[in-house]
Amino acid sequence: MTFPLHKKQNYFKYSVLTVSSVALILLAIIFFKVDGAEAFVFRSFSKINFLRALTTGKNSGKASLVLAKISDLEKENQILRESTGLGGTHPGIPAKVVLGGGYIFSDSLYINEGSGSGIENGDLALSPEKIFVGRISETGTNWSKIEPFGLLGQKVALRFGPNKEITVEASGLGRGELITELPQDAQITPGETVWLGKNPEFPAGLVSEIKKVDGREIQNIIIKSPLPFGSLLDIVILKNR
Amino acid sequence: MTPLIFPLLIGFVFDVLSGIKFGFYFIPALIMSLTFYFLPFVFAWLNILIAYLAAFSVFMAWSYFVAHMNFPSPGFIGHIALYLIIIAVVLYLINVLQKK
Repeated sequence: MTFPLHKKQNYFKYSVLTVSSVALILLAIIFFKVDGAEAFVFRSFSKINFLRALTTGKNSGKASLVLAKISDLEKENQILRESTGLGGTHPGIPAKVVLGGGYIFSDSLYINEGSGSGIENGDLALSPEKIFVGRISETGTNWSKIEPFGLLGQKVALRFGPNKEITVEASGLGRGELITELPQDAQITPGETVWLGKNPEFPAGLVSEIKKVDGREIQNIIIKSPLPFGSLLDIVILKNR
Repeated sequence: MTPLIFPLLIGFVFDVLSGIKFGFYFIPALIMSLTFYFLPFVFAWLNILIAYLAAFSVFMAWSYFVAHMNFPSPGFIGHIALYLIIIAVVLYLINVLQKK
């Protein structure tokens, strides 16, 4: 009778040891960012990301209108620049999104171009309509990772107002949403375009909600990206100037 | 206890691929697996539910601090819920397979 009990206790001891060792190894890989681990995991999971192509084009009505309006303004701007001899605007490196942005792998986007194409950390990632998507945070030879706009905990400088005169710092709330505080007398309207602080030529999001704070002289502004990160396919990378 | 490595591997994959580092996905997966394993209830679904709530609370508290004392967006809360559902399904399947 004692033998099975002894065997069971040994099994428990060994399984605790195995789980602890595996947990420690995995944590060490995460903390020390072991080279090659990310590329291996990303390559394995990008193969099963076949659903991305099926969801493309499912933008909401409001977002589609904003995207069409921005696209028209971009074309008009391009024509004006060419006619005045200023040349084309922002030649970029085109890339395809291969993983991320959806509900499963939420706050990261992986593209199929990397340091081999001249992409470096800190470069800007834009949609084909020149809306800010995020910044390059890691690169491999033929892949790069983008920290999308509104990443949880991300601090980003933004500009408001008709002349982009109000500059504030916003905090990311995850999945393309940010929050910032402004004085109550600042005239902000829902649906207003918000521009990137460091590169104010690029729109980053839209004012989604304005919350007045009782007893305080501030208002909380919620900003959302108009881009559907989960079904975004094409990206243009601009070198950080 | 050894099959608990599978939820940890899922946590590892999410941690490596996410933009938020330092065990944001791995540690809640570890907490959920261990809570599930050491809970004494006979019904597996009850153990999974309690483990799910424990991991979700950890996630919410962690997200609150990461987002500079702000609650995460509804979309991100949905993402956390989905991630923990994946872990819960894996834990349930492991439990069923172990009993067979």
